[in-house]
Amino acid sequence: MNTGCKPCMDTERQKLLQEISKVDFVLKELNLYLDTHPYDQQAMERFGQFNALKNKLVKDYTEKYGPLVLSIVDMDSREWKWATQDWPWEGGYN
Amino acid sequence: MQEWKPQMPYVEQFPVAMAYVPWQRNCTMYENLDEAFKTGTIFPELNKPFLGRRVKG
Amino acid sequence: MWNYEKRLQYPVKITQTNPQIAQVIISQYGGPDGELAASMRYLAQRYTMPYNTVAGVLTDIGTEELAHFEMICAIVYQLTRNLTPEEIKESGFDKYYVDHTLALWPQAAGGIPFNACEFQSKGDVITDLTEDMAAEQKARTTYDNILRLVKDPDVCDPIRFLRAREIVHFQRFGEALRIAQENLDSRNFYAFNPEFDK
Repeated sequence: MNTGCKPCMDTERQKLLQEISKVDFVLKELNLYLDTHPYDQQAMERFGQFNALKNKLVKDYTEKYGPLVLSIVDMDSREWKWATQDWPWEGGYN
Repeated sequence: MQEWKPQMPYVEQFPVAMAYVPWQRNCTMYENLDEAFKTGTIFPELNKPFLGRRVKG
Repeated sequence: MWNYEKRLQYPVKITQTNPQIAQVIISQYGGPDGELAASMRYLAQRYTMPYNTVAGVLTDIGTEELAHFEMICAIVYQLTRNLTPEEIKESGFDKYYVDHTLALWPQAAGGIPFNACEFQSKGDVITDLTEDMAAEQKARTTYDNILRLVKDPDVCDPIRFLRAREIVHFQRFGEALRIAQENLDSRNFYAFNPEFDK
């Protein structure tokens, strides 16, 4: 179905997933920081920026490769990729 | 953070028979997200890697 | 309520199997200072926590620990993937294999099964947060011990990440304890238990 070569597609997919993980890691760190510093405006603003970025990246990833979360799924697909694609512990695209 | 001013006056801030971890006041982040991710924290201040040997000096 | 994200918090991609080291690392799944105990400890303690911000710390760190035992399981799984009966016998993995084949089961490196007695939920803010700080240090030491034994960079890399998280969590629990102190009487922090006494 896709025209690109498989190894290149895999590298791009991996890169995008890593980008999501990096951005989500910033969110996790800010989340914990804000729990004990709930009035830190700068940290809250940063959380908002990174949260928007994560949502955009997850949407891109879902459209290109498949779902990461059940709240964003590609309804045009004829396949329930959530279950048919590899699970993360297999070490494929993490 | 200003709302979290300790209620206790400075000299009495640390009464005995209690544990105190200093507040993280600095929320400076790594500029490079790859570095933060690899380090396991976005805060350079909290980067305390295991070396497995004594560091002299 | 929880939602699953179909990715690991930090990548685990191990090319070389090593059942011997898998048997050591499995301790951070079901061992005394493992990620499962950490998660269950914090998520159990939060219900009676009288301060919202502290309950937040317990919820959010407890949630992150779920992602950590998933990483540990992925490491053990990849270290033991497709082993042959000969490799199982030679590496000493046979004692685990006879009961669990190559599946994941929460136990300590010494074979002791996961047990809720490995953590407390005491119902006293100071006591529980002090335990949580100690728990993060114990897990950090376990990771230090693992790092002395592991040479494979594919394994060291995620282990170093997990170790770094223990230090961040220690800091947050320390701050949570400061929040509790600010809500108590500094002349006698132990006058009453805010999780019980009116």
